[in-house]
Formats: sequence, structure tokens, C-alpha cells
Amino acid sequence: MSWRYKLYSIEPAQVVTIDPINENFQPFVEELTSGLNEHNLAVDAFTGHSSSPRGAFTDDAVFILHLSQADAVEIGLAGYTSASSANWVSIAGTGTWEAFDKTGLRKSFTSRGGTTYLCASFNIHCGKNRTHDSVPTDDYPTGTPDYRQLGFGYLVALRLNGTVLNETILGSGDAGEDDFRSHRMTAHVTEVEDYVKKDPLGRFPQGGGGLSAARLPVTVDAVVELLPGENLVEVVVLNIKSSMQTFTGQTTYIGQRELYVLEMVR
Amino acid sequence: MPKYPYLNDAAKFDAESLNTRFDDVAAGVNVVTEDAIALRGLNHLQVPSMVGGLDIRTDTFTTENEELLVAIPSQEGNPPEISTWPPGWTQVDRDGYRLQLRDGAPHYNLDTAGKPTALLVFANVEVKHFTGFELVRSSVTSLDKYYGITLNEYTWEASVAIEIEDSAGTAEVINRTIRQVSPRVTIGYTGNFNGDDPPVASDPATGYDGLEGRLAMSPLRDMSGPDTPSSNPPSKYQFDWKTFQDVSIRTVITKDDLATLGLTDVQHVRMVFYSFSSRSYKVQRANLTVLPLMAEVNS
Repeated sequence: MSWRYKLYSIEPAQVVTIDPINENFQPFVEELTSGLNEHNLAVDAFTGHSSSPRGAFTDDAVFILHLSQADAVEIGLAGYTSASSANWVSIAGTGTWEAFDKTGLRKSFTSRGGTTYLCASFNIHCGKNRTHDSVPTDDYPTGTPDYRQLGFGYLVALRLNGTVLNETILGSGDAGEDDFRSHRMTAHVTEVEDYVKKDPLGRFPQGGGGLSAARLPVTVDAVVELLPGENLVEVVVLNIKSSMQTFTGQTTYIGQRELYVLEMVR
Repeated sequence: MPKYPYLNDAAKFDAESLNTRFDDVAAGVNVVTEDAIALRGLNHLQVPSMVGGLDIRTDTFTTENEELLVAIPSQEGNPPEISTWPPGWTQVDRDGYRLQLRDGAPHYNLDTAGKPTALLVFANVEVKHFTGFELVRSSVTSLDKYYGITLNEYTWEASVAIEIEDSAGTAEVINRTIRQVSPRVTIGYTGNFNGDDPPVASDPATGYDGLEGRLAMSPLRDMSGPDTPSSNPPSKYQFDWKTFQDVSIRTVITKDDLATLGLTDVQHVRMVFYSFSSRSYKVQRANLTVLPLMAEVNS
């Protein structure tokens, strides 16, 4: 249905009766009862405002962004020299889901509720950006080897209000299938002659199904239905069997990072 | 939803009863509620999309690289190489790597009422492999049949970032979008203990004129080939030297970014490439999407 017009025109000096009044009213009442459509609105009723098609709408008419962007992270290789001053975030070798109270990895916000896109994009770093240290010894004239075979890897996910979103988990890690022999590759193997005692690595593949690399860009995202009110989104990392460590057993790190929430409220 | 009390036949009516009915209808018009609108009664002519640019008819929001960039079994491809020279971030002037949002003014300043306030960026690129690596022979005499390559995942890296350029031609990298990726290699420990690191040129008098030293974090061989006698070394391409690692970047660009970077607006968005450890590499598959949103931005 579209625009309506009154059925009867009540003329001057006409004796007004009930029927034309009822019938003149009725079409408009019907129209206002789930009958309005595009024909009742001018083409530019909203879009013609202020020469902008969106001029009649406030910024939060459809989308609301909540940002947690870590802009104070040092770039390049600075974090390998001093992770703390570079504002890198350490990943503990705890083997359980770990959250981080740092910008870019956590966002608390008040939601209007509805369909919402959650996304985190960040960089994981292992190692020290070198393969040996700078201290020569008799056994290692060019410096003690500084490396470690990477472990099972990480699981990475988003956690919403305390619940890990299963659909966001990246990585797997199968300790039943993967032979993890990281200790054979660490700097703890200090005896030069040890290498002759080791099994050829090709016979014992190492690592697992988790995300594993010395430098690893990661994106995790999900679309969820949020309840109105306060919500908390976090990046969580599980260091599988605590195996992802640097060559000296130190923690590994998250460098550049960003987390954002896009509420699609209408 | 207005209700109309019908006037029955022979019912008396007066000014008050008519006014009541006028008021009911007026109330329905004054506050048009959701249930007054027919299902699917409105379309894009009345309600504009909050996704889209300053002119959705001409603006471009996505780009992907042409097929010939990509090496697949049936074609060699022509993946761009990121060189260490000249120093600095490298632009790749091909589809998939760069996007011009608008040709002419007005441009996105992300700070105008009724216009986009944020650019949602989705970027993906595949780092195909690193170049410039070399074969290394173990310098341990008893292990001189063992070879490796200089490629390792600790000291080799490729870096990718998002760069924006304003209508004045000034381009800046958004530092939080820098992503580093290491070669995807499988590492062995054989030959990883003694000798020079990094390797040095061997004595030609030995009959071997390649690099010699520790096989530090060297990838395992993944193809068989000659390794004895020592004068008949394997090819460096017999090792696990390819990477094929996807780098994904997601970010939201707002007016705060423009202020921080000293830019006036956004005309171009690009993926740019670098190596903080001065490595060269090739990239291939790439796509870049920038969604302008009119959104409330809460930092």
C-alpha cells in the first residue's frame, strides 16, 4: 500500500453524518498500521540532508567501533634487545590459556548488543634474532650456539567474557603424534661431542600442530551476538606444554598488536 | 500504532469525539514506530548504507593481484622481489598491493559529519621465499659431508606493513601494522656446533669453493642429492628453503592516525615491504580491502 487520499470531501453547509467521517479516517489509520513503505517517504527524506546521503544519521546509527591499538611499540628488532622497553608483551611458559592486561590485547566496552565483529591482529616473536652469542670459548670460537628448536607451538584464540571462543582457536598440537624433543636442540647441550650421540633429527620430527615460528603474524576473528552491557574481549594464548621458549628458556613475546570490536547494531 | 474508535451508526458525535480521533491519527504520524513500516518497505533510496565511500559509484575498495603474479604448477608466474636496495619500505605498484580510494577531491579525512569516520583494512600477502641464501659445508672435518644453507628462521625475516598516502603525496607507515614473518624451515642440529657463524669462504685449495662453518639452524634437506665426495656438493635448492607463509594484517584507520602521522587525508592505502635484517625475498598472492565505515569510534 502507498499514499492515500480521503474518500469524501465534506462540502460547506453539508450535514455531517457518521459514515464519511469513519471512511475518511480509516485509510489513514490503516496506513499507519504496518502500511507505510517507500512510497510514503520522499526519496531524499533522509539521504538529501546537508548534501550528504548520511547527513541525517549520527555516527553510531549503524556501527560502533571500540579500539585497542598499541601504538607505543618499538618497531624493527628493538624488542630483541630489550623486550620491556620495546613494549613487547611476554608470553609465559605456563601451558594454560594466558590473557594479557595490555593495550592491543584486551578491550572492555559497553555494548548496545547485537551482531558484533571481533578481530585481533598481532605478531608473535621467539628467539633472540641471532644464532650464537658474542662470547667466544675454546669449544665455540665464534660464540656459544644460541638457538632452540621451537616447540609444539601456540594456540591462539579470542576470549569473550571469560569464555574462549572455540571457533577462533588457531593451531592444534597433538602430543600423541608429535615427538617433542626440544631439549636436544637447546643450548643446554654444551658438550661438543654430544652431536655424535644424537639421533638424526630426520628420524624424529619435532614440533606440533600449534602455531610455531620465530616470527609469526596472527589474525583471529569472530562474529558473535553480544548482549547489551559491559563486555570484555581478550586475546588468549596457550603455550602448548610450555614448549615455546627462547634458547635460554625465556618467555616469548607479542610485539605489534591491535584489537578492535565492531558493533553492527542495526 | 493508532487505533480508531469507529463511530457506530446513530451514535452521537461532537467536537470532542472528533478531536480525539484526529489526535490519535496525529500521534501515529508524529511518532512513526517500527510497526508502522511495512516489511521491506524501505530500500536504499531512503536509507543509505553506512558502508561505502564518499562516492560509491567511483571509489574503489578492494584489489587483488593479477593471475600472472602467482606461481602455480601450470605457470611460472612473476612474483615481485623485495630487494634490500634502496633502503626503506618498498612499494609494489601492482594490483593486490595498492589501492587508490579516490581519484579526485574530496578525500577521506575521517572527521566530517555524515562521512566515513574509519577505514577497516584487510590485507593478506604470501611471502613465497627468501633469496640470497647460500650453501654451507660443515667445517668440522669429521662432518664435512654435511651441508646446510645460510637460511634460518632466527635471523631472517620479512616485514609487511600498511602505508597510507594523503592527497598531498605524503606517505607514512602505520607502525602498529608492521608484521614480521620468518622463513618456514625445518631445522636440524647436524653440524650446528663448531665452526664460523656466520660461515666464511672456504680455502679453495681444499677443492671446495663455497662457504664453510657452522650449519647454524640450517634447514633439513628435503631432497636427496650428492654430498660425497666433498667436491660434489648438493644444490642449495635441495634444502627446505621455501616459505609460502601468509601474512595477514587487520587494522582500523581513524582520524587519530592521520593526526599522529601528520597527514591530512587518505587517498592511497598500500602494503609495503621491508626487512629489518636486510634480507631479500619474493611475495606473490596478495589482496587488499579497505572498507570505509561511518561509525562511532571509541578508542
